[in-house]
Amino acid sequence: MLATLRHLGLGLLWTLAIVPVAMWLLHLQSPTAAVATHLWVAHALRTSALAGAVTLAVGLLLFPPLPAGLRLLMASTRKLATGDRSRLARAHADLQQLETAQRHLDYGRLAAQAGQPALALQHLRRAVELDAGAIAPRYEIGELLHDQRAYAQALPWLLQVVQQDPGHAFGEALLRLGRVTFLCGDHRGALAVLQQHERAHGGNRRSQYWLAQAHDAVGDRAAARAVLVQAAAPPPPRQRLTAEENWYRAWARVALWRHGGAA
Amino acid sequence: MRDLRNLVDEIPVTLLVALAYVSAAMLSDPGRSGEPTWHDHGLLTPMAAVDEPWRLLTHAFLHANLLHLLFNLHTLIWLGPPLERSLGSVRFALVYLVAALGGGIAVCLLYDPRQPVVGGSGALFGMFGALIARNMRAGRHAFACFDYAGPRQLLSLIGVNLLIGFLIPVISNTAHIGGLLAGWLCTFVFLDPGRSAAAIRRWRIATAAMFAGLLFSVLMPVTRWDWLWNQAIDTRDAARAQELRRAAVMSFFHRQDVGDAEVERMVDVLFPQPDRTPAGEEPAADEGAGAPRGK
Repeated sequence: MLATLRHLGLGLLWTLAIVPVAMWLLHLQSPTAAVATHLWVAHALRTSALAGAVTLAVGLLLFPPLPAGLRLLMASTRKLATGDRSRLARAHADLQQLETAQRHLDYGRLAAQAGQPALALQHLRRAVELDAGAIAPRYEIGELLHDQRAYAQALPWLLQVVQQDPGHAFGEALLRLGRVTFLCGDHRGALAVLQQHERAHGGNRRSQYWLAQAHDAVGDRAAARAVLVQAAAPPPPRQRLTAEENWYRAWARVALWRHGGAA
Repeated sequence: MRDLRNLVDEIPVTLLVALAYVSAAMLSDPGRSGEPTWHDHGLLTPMAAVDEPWRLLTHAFLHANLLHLLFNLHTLIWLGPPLERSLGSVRFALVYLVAALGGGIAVCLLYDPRQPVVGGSGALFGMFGALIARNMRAGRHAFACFDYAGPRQLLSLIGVNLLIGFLIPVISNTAHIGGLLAGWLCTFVFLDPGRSAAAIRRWRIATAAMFAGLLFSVLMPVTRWDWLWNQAIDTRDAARAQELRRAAVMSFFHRQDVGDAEVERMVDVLFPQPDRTPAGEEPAADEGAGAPRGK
């Protein structure tokens, strides 16, 4: 996401640089066309800003994933923007001194946290090359590929991790395997994995939402609804959900509405 | 005396700018009536900046009255020395000039072409921006500095000043915000790139291109009615002149549906006293050809 923000920022700067020259070239062709374009763009920007503000206000009131998504976006942006980059530099310096699988793993993890997935994957793969039996870099690769929506590629990595250590990363590997299996089209397989996760590690809003989707996909709407009711339940008093949990709770509420129940 | 020599050694640019403020105030004498003074030739109006681009900088050394001068002088003496000691004199001078230019560009892009603006506060806001940028570069990450009271108070001060600018109509917050952004960008991207110097090259190129593009649009404001009108006066091609006039009227009234006859009628309304004849044409009272340049 940091890369997206970076590209947006650079795109804005280049737009501000190019537009005056483009307008001047248009003016050379036809001064009235340049002014008309300027007026049209100004009008369109004003109208779309107003429409956007109204849509946002209505959406914030009526569509739970919108405020939850804004909170999640702010939380992830804050996490990315306030990450300590010096640790990445130190890990790189360590790696230049002596190349080990652990150092590649550390560097890969830090690069992933710093929003550089391509760099992270490169080092994590090298960690697997150096230590063929290591689980941690495999899990990190699977997680990164999952986050990049490369589900078919993530599947074998997560499968290897779960086969060696079913409880890896406090069940997170199992949960992600279930999700990836579901997204690769094996709904029954995914349901079995997600139920195994539920039994072994208990549920959270994310696992419940994914489990409900798996139930839904195999046609068990009643089970899906029962899980969604848990996922959409409000948090206990004086307990605040994390941004991610809140995001899945919001989607669970929407899914529950679709199932004909109130959240 | 030795203290003064030390000060001149340490913060020459701050002292020079302060001296320029005071000298310009004494030389320009803005309260005097009659003939145009130096003050009139240094203040910034978007209309005048097209032909006299130095106004984008000179306006940052002139002030409207004694109170304005004293307020900005105080801010300069308060903010300038620590920043100049921190950045170095040449870089400090660069920040001041870039921030003044940034404030001027913002004014030219967003204000009515006839609106005059004067004062060093845009450049002084640029110093605020530079201080924030220095603090952001000093921490473990860009926002670590805001865990501390000093940078947070600086942000509050900027916020309060902007609020005052919004509440008092004669204060140009556009120049303040333009100067603030220019000073921050100049320091954050160019003067203090931090550890990621290699990664910032793309930002440097994009920022420089944006600054050049915006400056270009200030000097060639192809969608602003005053510039279009002056182009119409200067052009020898009658058809082109008519199209330029039409574009000027469209821009002035923010309307696209303007016909030729309407242009002629509006010309009489807009510019009732022609004082200039289009090059290569005879004076024609009904054509409305001579619009004032408004300087």
